[in-house]
Amino acid sequence: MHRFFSLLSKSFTPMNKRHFHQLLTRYRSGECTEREERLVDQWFALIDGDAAEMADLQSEETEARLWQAIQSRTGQPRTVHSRTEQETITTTHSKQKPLHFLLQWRSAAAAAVLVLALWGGYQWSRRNAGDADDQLSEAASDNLISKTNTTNAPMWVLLPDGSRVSLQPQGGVKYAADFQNNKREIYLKGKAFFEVVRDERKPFLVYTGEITTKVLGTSFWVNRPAAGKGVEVSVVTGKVSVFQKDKEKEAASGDLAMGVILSRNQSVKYLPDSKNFAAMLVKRPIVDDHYKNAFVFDDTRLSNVAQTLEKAYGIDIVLTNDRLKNCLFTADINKQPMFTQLALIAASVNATYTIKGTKIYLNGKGCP
Amino acid sequence: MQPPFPDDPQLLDRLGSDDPQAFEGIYRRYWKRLYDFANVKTRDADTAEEIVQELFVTIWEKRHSLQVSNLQSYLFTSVRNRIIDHYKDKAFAALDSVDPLSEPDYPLFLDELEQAMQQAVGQLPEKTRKIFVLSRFEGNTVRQIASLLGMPERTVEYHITQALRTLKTLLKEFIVLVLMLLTAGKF
Repeated sequence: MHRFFSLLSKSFTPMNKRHFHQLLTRYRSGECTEREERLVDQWFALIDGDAAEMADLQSEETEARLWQAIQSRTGQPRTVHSRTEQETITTTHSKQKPLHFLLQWRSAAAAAVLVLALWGGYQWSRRNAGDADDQLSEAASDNLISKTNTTNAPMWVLLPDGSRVSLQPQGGVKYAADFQNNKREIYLKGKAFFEVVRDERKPFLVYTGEITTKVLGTSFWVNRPAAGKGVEVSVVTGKVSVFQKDKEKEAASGDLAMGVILSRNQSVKYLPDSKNFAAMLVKRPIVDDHYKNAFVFDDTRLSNVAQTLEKAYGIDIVLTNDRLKNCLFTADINKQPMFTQLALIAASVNATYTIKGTKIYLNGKGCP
Repeated sequence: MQPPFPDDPQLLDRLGSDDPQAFEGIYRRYWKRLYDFANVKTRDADTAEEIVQELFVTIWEKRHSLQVSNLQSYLFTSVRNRIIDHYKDKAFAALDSVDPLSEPDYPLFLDELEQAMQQAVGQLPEKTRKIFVLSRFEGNTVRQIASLLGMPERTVEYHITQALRTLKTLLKEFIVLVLMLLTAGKF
């Protein structure tokens, strides 16, 4: 036994990274010997992690998130469209996309992340001057691509990593031609929609003056008109983190004064005067695709009704009185927007709802 | 309305004629098993998601040219290849120099790898070893092994579990080293 282990320690020196790479390369090219094939098969059979540890506890979320990512990349519409549309939306990544593609893509992208930012008082031209707070690295600063949309229609920009930006009229973006740094950095003026290719090693950051939005999901909106009073960020699905410029570390460590992580249907307002982030719900929460027809209740306990809404919108609903759980609710409210649904539910059990921050509170006497 | 549970050939057929519902049907039917497979092999949930995502994007893009007779084995083989590619890429990323290939040492590396595997398997009790070799090294199914050795499938499964547990302990250093080497570049 001892000999065995010492042999291994001797054997697996760093040199063998190369050998290991060579072995796998040969295996995958189909040009390896039977012996190499057997070794890889044996190795593969033994690399399992602990299945119990790996158990995915958020299976439903993973399923939905993964499907959304696949849909946004295959141009799958959120609802079923005709076959001709299906074919047009799977065109390759050309810079000039036909309009029908754009419309299609936007509906798919809406399933991802929506960020809406309003910002004012920031001078776009300062970025050109290369002043001290310019966040683009020195090396890249002389290699910036600048795109401005002077048309009256959204314009599409393909980024070097394959990510895509729909630039709204009067909007502008700047970015390094090759994204060679360890970050993917974009400066935005105006309003744009981003679909971001996933790459954990290179965070995707959108700079809008005093505020930085870091993408933890796949796509989002940013709006930054030249003359606004604050920043507003709204997320449909997925995740972004929003923080003060240069405060990424603090925000990442959970310092809420410095920034906030938003998930779907949440929004944040940043006021430059108070430098405060106030998280809230978006005006019209969007339902997760899988729950589109889930709002049919038949003598359903309110605790279950609330749970359905929580899952469908990703929003916390708090029943302030335990007896509220006992109430029964019967209705088909598939067609209603969320706040109407809430009002209908509350009214039927003689309760009221209030919104505090990103949570919804149902208040009432409840049922026996 | 579509029939509630179309079988795999039907789904493949409809996929070939651009039916997005068939595409979704395949996803719903298989995503979980494929994801769990990738997750347990790569030990990384993000990588597992990425692998499954890439697979389905590829399937959609290649839906007109796919020549698949058995959907399930196609999906699992694809995921397996992607897992191996993942390790291959990691090994490549972990290389810290651009030295030319040290070809002369490669056969030695294979020898040592083989020796390590064989020694570890050699430590298993006779019956466990036999079943494990039949299963993992020779690719027989549990059912095949059960009928070959005339024992209940549950017993075969028990031996395989035992073998994996033992081997993981014995080969821990090997597995951990490989994983460490490969993750070194990430941190």
